[in-house]
Amino acid sequence: MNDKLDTKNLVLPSKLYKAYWLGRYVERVDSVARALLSALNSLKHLKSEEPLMSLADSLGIEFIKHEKFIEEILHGDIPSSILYAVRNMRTNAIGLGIERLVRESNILVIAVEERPDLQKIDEVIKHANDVIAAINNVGRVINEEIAPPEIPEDKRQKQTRHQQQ
Amino acid sequence: MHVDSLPSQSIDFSKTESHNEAIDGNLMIREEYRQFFKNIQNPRLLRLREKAMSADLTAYLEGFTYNVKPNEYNAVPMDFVPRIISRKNFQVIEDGIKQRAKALNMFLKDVYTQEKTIVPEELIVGSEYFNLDLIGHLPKNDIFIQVYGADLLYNGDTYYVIEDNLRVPSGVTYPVKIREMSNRYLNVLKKGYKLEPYKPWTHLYKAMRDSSWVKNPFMVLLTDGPSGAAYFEHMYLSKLMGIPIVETGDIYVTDSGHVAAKIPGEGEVQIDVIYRRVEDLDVFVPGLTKAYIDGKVALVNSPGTGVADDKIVYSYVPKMIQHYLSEEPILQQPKSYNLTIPEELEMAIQNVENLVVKERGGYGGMGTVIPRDHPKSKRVALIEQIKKEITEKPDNYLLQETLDFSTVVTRESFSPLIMRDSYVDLRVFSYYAEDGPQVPPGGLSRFARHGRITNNSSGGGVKDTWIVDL
Repeated sequence: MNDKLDTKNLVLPSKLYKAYWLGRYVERVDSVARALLSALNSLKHLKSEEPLMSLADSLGIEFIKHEKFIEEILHGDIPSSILYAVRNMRTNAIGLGIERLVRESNILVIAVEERPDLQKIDEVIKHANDVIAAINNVGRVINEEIAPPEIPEDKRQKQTRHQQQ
Repeated sequence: MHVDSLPSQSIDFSKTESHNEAIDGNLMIREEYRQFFKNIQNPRLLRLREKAMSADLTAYLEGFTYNVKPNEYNAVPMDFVPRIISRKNFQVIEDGIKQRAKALNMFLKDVYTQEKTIVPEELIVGSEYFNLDLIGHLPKNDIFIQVYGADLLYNGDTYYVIEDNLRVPSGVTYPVKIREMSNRYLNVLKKGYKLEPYKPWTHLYKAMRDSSWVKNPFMVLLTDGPSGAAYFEHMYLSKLMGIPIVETGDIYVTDSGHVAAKIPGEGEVQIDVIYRRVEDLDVFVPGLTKAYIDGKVALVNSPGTGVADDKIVYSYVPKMIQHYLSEEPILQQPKSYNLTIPEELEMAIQNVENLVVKERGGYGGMGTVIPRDHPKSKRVALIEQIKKEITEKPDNYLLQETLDFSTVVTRESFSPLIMRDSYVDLRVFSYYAEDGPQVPPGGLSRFARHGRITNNSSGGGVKDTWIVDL
C-alpha cells in the first residue's frame, strides 16, 4: 500500500490542523484590521472616538485614550492584538512549509511590526491600509497554493461524459 | 597579494594573536582566498551590497530563521564570505571523522552488547543517555550513528575535535541554504573556483534507507514542530529528501507494535524509518523505543547514542580509536582533565583560569564556560565557584585546555568593503550507511561576533565552507 502513496504531498493531521488555524488567524487579522481602519476614518473625518470605543469593547480592551488603544490593538501582547494574531498565523504558515505562504506571512508580520506615529492619524490609517494589503496578499497565496484548482468548463463537460462511459 | 591592495581600513584586525585563515602574518592574502578578494574587487561587479541585502532578505522571508521564543523568529545571520579549505586539508578532516565515526560506533555496539569497553563502566551506566532497555538490541548492520556531527577547531597546523554530536546533530542545512542564496544572488563570488558540490542530504537519504529491514521503506522526518528552534532545518531537509515531515502527534504505535500515521483519505500508513529530530521519544510517542527494539521501525539515530557524546566519554575517544581500529587518531583533541581521577582534578583546580569548563550533559555551547573570556572583575569569583563545583561533583564536568584557534574574515559590508576577523569553528557531518561512513565535502562554519562562542544564541553567525583544489 505504501508504494502507491504520493509521499511528497501527504496531508498529515498536523498539517490540516495548521491550515485550519492559519485560516482562522487570517480571518481574525482581516476583520480586526478593517474594523480598525473604519474606526480610524471616523476619528479623522467625524472627530468621533465612539467607533474606536465600540471596537475596544468588542475586543475586551479597556479604552482610556485612543492612542493607547491603537497601540494595544496593533502591537499589544494580548490575544486580540493584530501582532499576536499575525505571529500565530506565521507559525502555522511555517508549519505548513509552503514557501510562498511563508514569504507573504513574513511580509505581513514585518508590515504589522512597523510603528506609526500614533499622534498622526493619517500615518496610522496608512499603516492599517498597508496591513490590509499584506493580508490580501496572504489570502491570494492561500487561494493559489491551497484551494483546489478550478476546472475549466470545457474540461468539466469532458470529464462528465468520460464518467458516464 | 598584500592587504594594502584592498581599499584602506577594509579589514579590522583585532585578534592578531590567532591564526587568520585568510591573511598571513605578513598581511599577504593566503592562496585559498586570493581569487575571492579579486572577485569582490572586480570593477565590473555592480550592486554587490544590494545583492547581499537581497540574499539576506530572501532567506529571512523564506523562513531561514531560528526560533527565539514562541511565534518569534530571528534571521539566521549569514555571511557570504566563505570559509575556504584546501582539499588537502579537508582530506585530513574527512579521514579523521570517518575514523572517529567507526570507533564511536564500535564503542556503542560494545556498550549495548555488554562487552567490556575501555571506558569505566560506572561512567557508562552513570550517563544520563545510557538506555538500559537497549541492551542486547543491535540495529541493522550494527550502525547506531547514521548521522554524526563533529565540532572542530583549527590552529593553523592541526584540526582539533572539541565535541562529538551523536544524538540529533543539527546545522547541516545552513551551508546548503547559504550556497543556495549565493548561487541565486552572488554567484560572481565563486568565479575562478571549482567547488565540490555539497549535497549531504543524498548521503542521509541513503543512510536512512540502509537502516531499514524493509526493502522499500516508508521514511519520515520526525520534528518537534514550528515552535522548535531547528524547524527550518527539518522542513528543508524533508523537502530536499522528498520525504514527509511528521510531528509527534501524527504518529503512534499500533496494537501490532508497528509505527503508523493516520492520513486523511489514505487511512493508516505504516512507517518503516524515522529520522528523528526530537529527543525524549517515548514522552512524545509512547511505545516508540519498544517498536524500535522489536524491529518494527528503524530510528536514525538509534536511541541511546548519547552515551558516546557524553563529555567525559569524549576524553576516551583517542583510546577507542587505538583499541578498536589499531590506528593512531588522525584528528587531535585538546588535553582534557577527567576530574574523576584525583590527580587530574588537582591539576585542573590549579589551572582553572586557563581551561574550558564543560558540563557533562551540555551540548551546543550550553553549559560551557571559558573563564579567561570573562571580565577580570568577575573572573576571580567565577573561578572560585568553578573550583567548588568541580570538587563537589567531579563526574559532572570535563575541563579542557583552551585552544588558540583560528579566525576568518567576515563581512561587515561589501560596499564600502569592511571586514573583520572573527573566531570560527567547523561542524563536519558523517553519514554512516552500509558502505561505511561518508563525509560530504563541506560543513557548517560558525563564527563568533563577540569572544569565542559561536552559537546563534550568543550572536554568532554561519558561513558556507568551500572545499577547493589549489
